[in-house]
Amino acid sequence: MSFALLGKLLDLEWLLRRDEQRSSEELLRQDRALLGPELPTDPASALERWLDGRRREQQGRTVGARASELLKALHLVLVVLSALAGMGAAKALLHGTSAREPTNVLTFLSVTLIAPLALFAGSLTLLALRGRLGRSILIEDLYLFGLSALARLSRRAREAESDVAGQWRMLRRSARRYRDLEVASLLSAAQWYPIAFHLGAALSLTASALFSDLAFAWSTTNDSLQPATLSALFAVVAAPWCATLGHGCVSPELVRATQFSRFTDQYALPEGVWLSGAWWPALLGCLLLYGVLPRLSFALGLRALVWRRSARLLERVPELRGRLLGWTVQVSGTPWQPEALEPAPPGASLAPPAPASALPCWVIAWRGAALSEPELARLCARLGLRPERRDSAGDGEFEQDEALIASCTELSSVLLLAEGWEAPDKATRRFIAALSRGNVRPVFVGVLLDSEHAPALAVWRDRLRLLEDPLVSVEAVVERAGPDALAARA
Amino acid sequence: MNPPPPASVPVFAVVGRVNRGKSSIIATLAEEDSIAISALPGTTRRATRYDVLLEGEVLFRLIDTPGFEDAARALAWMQRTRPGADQRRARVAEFRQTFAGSDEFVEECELLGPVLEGAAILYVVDGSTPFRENIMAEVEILRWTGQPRMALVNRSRTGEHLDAWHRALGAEFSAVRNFDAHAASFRERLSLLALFRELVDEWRAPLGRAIERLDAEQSRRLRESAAAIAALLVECLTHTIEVWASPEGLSAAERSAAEQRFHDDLRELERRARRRVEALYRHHRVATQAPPLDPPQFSRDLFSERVWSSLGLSAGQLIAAYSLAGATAGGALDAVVGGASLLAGTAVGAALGGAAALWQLGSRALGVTAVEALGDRLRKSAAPQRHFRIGPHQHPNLPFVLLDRALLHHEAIRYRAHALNAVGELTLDASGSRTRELPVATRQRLSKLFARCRKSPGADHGAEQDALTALILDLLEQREQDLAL
Repeated sequence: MSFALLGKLLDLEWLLRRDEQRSSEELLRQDRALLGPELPTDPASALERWLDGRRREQQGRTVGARASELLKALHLVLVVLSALAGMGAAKALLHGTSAREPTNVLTFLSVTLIAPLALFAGSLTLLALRGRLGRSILIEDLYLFGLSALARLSRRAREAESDVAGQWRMLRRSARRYRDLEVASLLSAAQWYPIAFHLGAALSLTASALFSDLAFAWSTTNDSLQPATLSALFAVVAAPWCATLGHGCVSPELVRATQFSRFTDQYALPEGVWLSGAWWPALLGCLLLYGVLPRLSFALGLRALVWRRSARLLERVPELRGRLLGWTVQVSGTPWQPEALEPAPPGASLAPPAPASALPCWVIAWRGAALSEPELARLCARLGLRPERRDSAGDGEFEQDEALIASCTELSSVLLLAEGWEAPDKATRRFIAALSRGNVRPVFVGVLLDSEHAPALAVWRDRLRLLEDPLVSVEAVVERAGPDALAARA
Repeated sequence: MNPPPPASVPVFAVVGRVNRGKSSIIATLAEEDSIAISALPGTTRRATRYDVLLEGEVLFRLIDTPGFEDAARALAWMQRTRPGADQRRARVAEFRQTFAGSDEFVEECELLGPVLEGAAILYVVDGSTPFRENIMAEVEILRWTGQPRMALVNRSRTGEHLDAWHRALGAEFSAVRNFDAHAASFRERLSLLALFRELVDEWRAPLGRAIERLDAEQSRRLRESAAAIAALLVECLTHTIEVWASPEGLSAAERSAAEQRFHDDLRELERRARRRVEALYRHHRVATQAPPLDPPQFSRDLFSERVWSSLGLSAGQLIAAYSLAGATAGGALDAVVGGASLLAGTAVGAALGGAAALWQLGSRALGVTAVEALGDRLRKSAAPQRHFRIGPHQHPNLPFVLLDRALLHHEAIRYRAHALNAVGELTLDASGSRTRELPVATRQRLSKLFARCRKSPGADHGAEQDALTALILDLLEQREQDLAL
């Protein structure tokens, strides 16, 4: 139904407007949740799924849903009124239920067929002249007026839906991208009113013909219209059903016989009295074939156009298309958060006991870390250490590192030099724990940094705190960029 | 044990030592700025799969893995049985089977999982740190898996040790490439994908197709960005607000309040358009305001003096544009009288145009028009209040300033790596005025379109918006070509 599409368009734009107030991240999360784990590949189904989900979130109380409901009601009322108008017009023209007052065929057709057809032709011309479907049309304003009136009458209006017509007007101004769909849908829906009018007239004609004695004539004061002309005209007009069904033909005899009716019961030919009722099948055929059929074809054609275009609706909404079908990333697995680091327990201070005198110290360069001699001397002096042995470790040979640890038990402290950019990974922590030998030997970890406030220092401190070893301390070693230091680092 | 056959969807496991930027590389390659990236080592502790999809189709899959934590010991365990070359992969699988679910080698088991399932390996090292021999344990384990592998040297723009890394890894990997996750452009990302094709023959076709589709997606983004910018310009140039005031007109305070409201509306329109562009490029976490830093011009307030002095057309260019428009109109009159006016029309038109530009340049005042309904006019009643319409904004430079800011913002977003968002990098880098460099003819066309929009704010400006979209798309494409050169 066209109105369902209009409701969808309204909701689409309404929801996108609301989304503008939300963060992209929030939208991304929501869209993914709505589309589910299996992302649709088809744009139409992606849009459907998204829109259904969003409408469910609003418990179906969306502007579009409300507008669609009201428009359907309005449409139904207008169809019924049109049908009644058609029936009424036909009934009035058929001059009662007896053949005493013949109905002028030309007048009947003028009102029930030619005038609506002229309107139809006029609107088609206007449409052709204005070019694209996207231009505004009067029918839309009429619908808006009706919608507005209905919304005001409706007592069920809720806050979000209260000003449906206003919302529609606002979207009309901004949402150019749906104009053709909007206009084509409304035009298609509007065709049902003349169809109902024609059908009402046809029904009235048939009922009158079947249940009363109708009489027709076509006389005119304009002598230029001769029976031969009219006969030829009706021969063409009635040809479709006359040729196929063999009924409803307008013969030259009928035309001639029903020419005059200005004097009741006095037809030009005696057989006119008998023949005068024979017009009605032809009139019925005219109403159905030339009234209903073109409108129906136009309505269905527009519906097909709308259906075809709306299948690619998402292409008109690039921001949503990007959200639903653009480059997306589906994440599986739960990304972990960084380890929650507990603050150090009060007893587990990282500062080692201050040495009373210089401790004999084992200096180990971890993973290629290097410090110039003067810097090393300064560091050892600061920490109260006296280097006794030097080694390197962490070069990727696990067994060598194990052997190295086993090889030195006599020295009472260790100074491990490590680069700040190296992560204190599990291998490093395990090595340090082994050096500490069960919390009995102080291990000073000298982290080589560019500045004292480098973030890496906090990382080292945090990670080594996991060892819960009070004898492991982290010392920042900020190198002065002297030639010795640079050479040593290189 | 033979490696499993490659899946139809190319799968890449991004592996390496902790804190080498694996997650940043994934964020940039997948355009996914929600990936947790932290300076803390060990942020990623589970293998997480990122399916890169376009229109629901998985183009390729990236797997973010935890970093190696104890590779040397793991390798020592594997080497204990001295497996032959044909048994090494099985030994790696055995390692994983042995320690999976235990407290030991948690990260190694996790990262080896996708590799043993058939993922190609992207081994990430940090080019800003020197090569150290100890990483060879990791390299050796990866070699034992027998999977196709490539090394990526991250932070290559600031890296000082690239040569050492290339020399060290060159013999161990099919290819070693520099890739700066924080600065890689879309083209660089595509060329990296093109290189991935070389890793596995079976993935050549799907990756080729992925590259084509991503390329098309990027073109689509350019088109839609142009449309969003054009829509912004039309919206701003036709924007009006309505206020009620006493019949005498707006007081100074009312006028100021209305102007404030009007300007806020324009700011909001600009903000919305930017959100659209950012969403197009999948930047969901861009922050452009950083108090300690000097923000780029397009991040400053739309109506700040600095923005108006540095963006948009210069006063001379504006006067020239208006004069030219006036001269064209005057020239038409000259043509109508067959030149009998001795080009007086052209001269007068140019002078009037220039004078109009001069007059409008001096003020940023908004047009205020009384809006009277027909009924009001007929009744001529002494209503206590009258209805006034504010806008559209008449300053000739406004659309050029807006356009400049939109172009700069677009450029900053288009060439921004997603890893920057994930680590909370705040500034966007783009500066200079683009509109001042436009050819006179383009400026002229823009001026005409802007004038048409302003002239009838209530009308449908679909044609103008389409024309603006086409013009802006040309500008964006031209800029793309300039930057490519």
